[in-house]
Amino acid sequence: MAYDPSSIVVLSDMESVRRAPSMYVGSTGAAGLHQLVYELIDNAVDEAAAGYCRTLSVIVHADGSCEVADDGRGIPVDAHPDTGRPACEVALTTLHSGGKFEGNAYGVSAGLHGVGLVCVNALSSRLDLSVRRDGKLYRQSYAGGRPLGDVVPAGEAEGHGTTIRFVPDPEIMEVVDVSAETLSARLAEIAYLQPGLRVTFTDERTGLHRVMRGESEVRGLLEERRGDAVPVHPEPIVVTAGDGELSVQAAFQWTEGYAEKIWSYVNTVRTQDGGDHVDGLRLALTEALLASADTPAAAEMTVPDLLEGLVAVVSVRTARPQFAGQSKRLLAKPEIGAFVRDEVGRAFAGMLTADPGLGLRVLRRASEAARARAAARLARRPSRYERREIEVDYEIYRRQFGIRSADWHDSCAWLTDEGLLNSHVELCDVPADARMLDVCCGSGVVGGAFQGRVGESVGLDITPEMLRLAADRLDVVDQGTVYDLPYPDASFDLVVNREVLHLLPGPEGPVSEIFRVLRPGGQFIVGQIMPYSDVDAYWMYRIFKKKQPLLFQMFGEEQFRDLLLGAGFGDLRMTTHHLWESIDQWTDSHETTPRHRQEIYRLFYDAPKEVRAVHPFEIGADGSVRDCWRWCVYSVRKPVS
Amino acid sequence: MESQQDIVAGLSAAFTHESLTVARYLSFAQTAEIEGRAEAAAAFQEIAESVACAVQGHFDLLRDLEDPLTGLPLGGTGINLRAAVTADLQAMIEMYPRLARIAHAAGLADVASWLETLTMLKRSHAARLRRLTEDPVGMASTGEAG
Repeated sequence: MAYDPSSIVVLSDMESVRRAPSMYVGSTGAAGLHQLVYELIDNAVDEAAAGYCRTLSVIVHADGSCEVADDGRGIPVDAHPDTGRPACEVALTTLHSGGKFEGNAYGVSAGLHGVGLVCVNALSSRLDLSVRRDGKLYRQSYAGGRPLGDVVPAGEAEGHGTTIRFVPDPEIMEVVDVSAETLSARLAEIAYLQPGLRVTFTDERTGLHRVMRGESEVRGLLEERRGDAVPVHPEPIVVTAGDGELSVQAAFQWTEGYAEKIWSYVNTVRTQDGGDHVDGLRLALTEALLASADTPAAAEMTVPDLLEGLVAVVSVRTARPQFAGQSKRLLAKPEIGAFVRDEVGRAFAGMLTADPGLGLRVLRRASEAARARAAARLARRPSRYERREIEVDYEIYRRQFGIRSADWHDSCAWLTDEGLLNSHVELCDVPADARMLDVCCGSGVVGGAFQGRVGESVGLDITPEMLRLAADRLDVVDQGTVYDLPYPDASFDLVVNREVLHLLPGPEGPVSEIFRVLRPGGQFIVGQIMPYSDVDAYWMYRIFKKKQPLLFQMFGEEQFRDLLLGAGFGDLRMTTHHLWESIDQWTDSHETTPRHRQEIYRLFYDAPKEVRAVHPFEIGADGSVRDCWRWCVYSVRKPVS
Repeated sequence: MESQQDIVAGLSAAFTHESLTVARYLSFAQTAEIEGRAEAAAAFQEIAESVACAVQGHFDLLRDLEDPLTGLPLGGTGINLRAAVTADLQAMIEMYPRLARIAHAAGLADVASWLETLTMLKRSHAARLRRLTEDPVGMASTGEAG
């Protein structure tokens, strides 16, 4: 093929965006679709920040088109000095033509580097522009990014503003169905972070209509995000500092929760990956706390320990932000970090001096959490390496699962997932009058799933709080340990158990006990999460051990099979069941240390290629993680003779 | 001759030392990052990159002598694969199972389980590398004569 001038294709801006949409808006999926709406919203936010806009209205029409209207100055319609075309048409068709490139139209800016309007237009099958300006209404329409006609006056108009209604192009965008929940959450943030702006959201598809006006600013946003978490100190702490060039607003509060949650923004745009402003906030809080404590015990606490349960919002406004990457998810400007650290640190230190009880409450909460976890870990460590007997400290299990019983069913999806429960029940093959034992029954969900398949259900657990929950699902509940089942030999026709044996040192003992209490011919049904292959077992071990210090085994299939057959069971059958689990939810738990929680995320973010090749998981645009767990559900039987 | 042996042993020890430095500093960098100590995180990360380069420098010298792990000759990909398979098999058959037995005997069930997952990993790696040693095209292009 000849390589001459004719082979060089010069793409117009519209074609560039349409050919490589992900380069401009991140993806052609849901994230990219919503980015299109955000581009329009951000333009209105910029007008509001500049003092020209008081209302922002977003409507998702019944036909799926999306409309964003503001009462800002209205995009100029006069002829652009370079091209002679109307300025609004230039802004909708030429990359890097927005007012943000001139540097004099806005003090601070939310939108993407002046490419926003072009991207929305290029990726829409239809776009209608209305501008109210100088007492007149102007209209222009586009299809696939190309104008269908000139900008035309359409009569008189009161006030000023811009309205854009667009239909995402289904030939380019894989997702065209805008999520009301996603938009609503983003608009709520804007309402809080841009006080004075009245925000409305209407979804004609469902009749939803919300008016949002966040006069309470970062404090209001914090309270919304905190939800019903129990606070350690009654009032959120709010710090405001800076001027028009650079300012920070931060609101923070410690809760009795476990995860550290910080929502960060630059010029009202969410920085999902954090950055220097978040680092500055975290350092400011820990330094002020440690300085106020002045005790050796406090000095031993780590940053993640001190910030466990922290809920915070930090919002920075700056004329010159600097981000790592185009999508503005990570602020990379050390001067802003230092500014936040100084301002928030000084203000918080002053508050701690004025109210010594505040620092004490936060430090006590941190030290109690750290001590409880350290005790749980240390207690199971043998004092001497040559020790051979396995001693089990039942109190550790009782304490941990007692605490977790408060929100047990919300702590992960698998506990109550019907598909997973059914995969256990489907293996059941016992007479209708069978006597069943649900061993380490927790809340009795597994045993409860066998209702109608057995005559009597008995639950056994070590934790009184769990037994109280199980009493609603099982006929009889007993307190006791699986190492020494409080039942005579051959008491049951069926024993069921799920995701417990990995938490027990020396699982051979419990499995032998289960074998003992089964009648000859009785069935044992047991489910465990297993690695996909030899190459992800060590990676899963690291994740699961960080989540749960009581993990003693990461079973592979061979090992688990050997465990069951080694106890004398036979007739082994196994089915698998795949279930997606939110790692964010799973790790928001008492027994997981803050540091381990963050290390778990990094194990997913930096997972080796060999692991990615066999083990499915997903990392969301906001850094959240979903992992697809491979459940192996086994059925074995005690031989008849 | 004795001084040459000393320098080989010393280089081999330095190779191990600096390999450990890389692993330690990468872990330290992650800790610093979690604590929000961006400057310390960057320092550990960047130093680890430099030391990793120095580790390769040590290995430039050592690989002409013999594999510090297996004592086997190194050179082209064909004989490197053989040394790699040997080392992985040794870890899979001897090192990790022995350590796991010791951990079990000491009552450290979780440590034993960790070591067993490494036995599984080494089994997978040895198998993957062995398949490559059996690839006649790959063998033919490795230039083992040198």
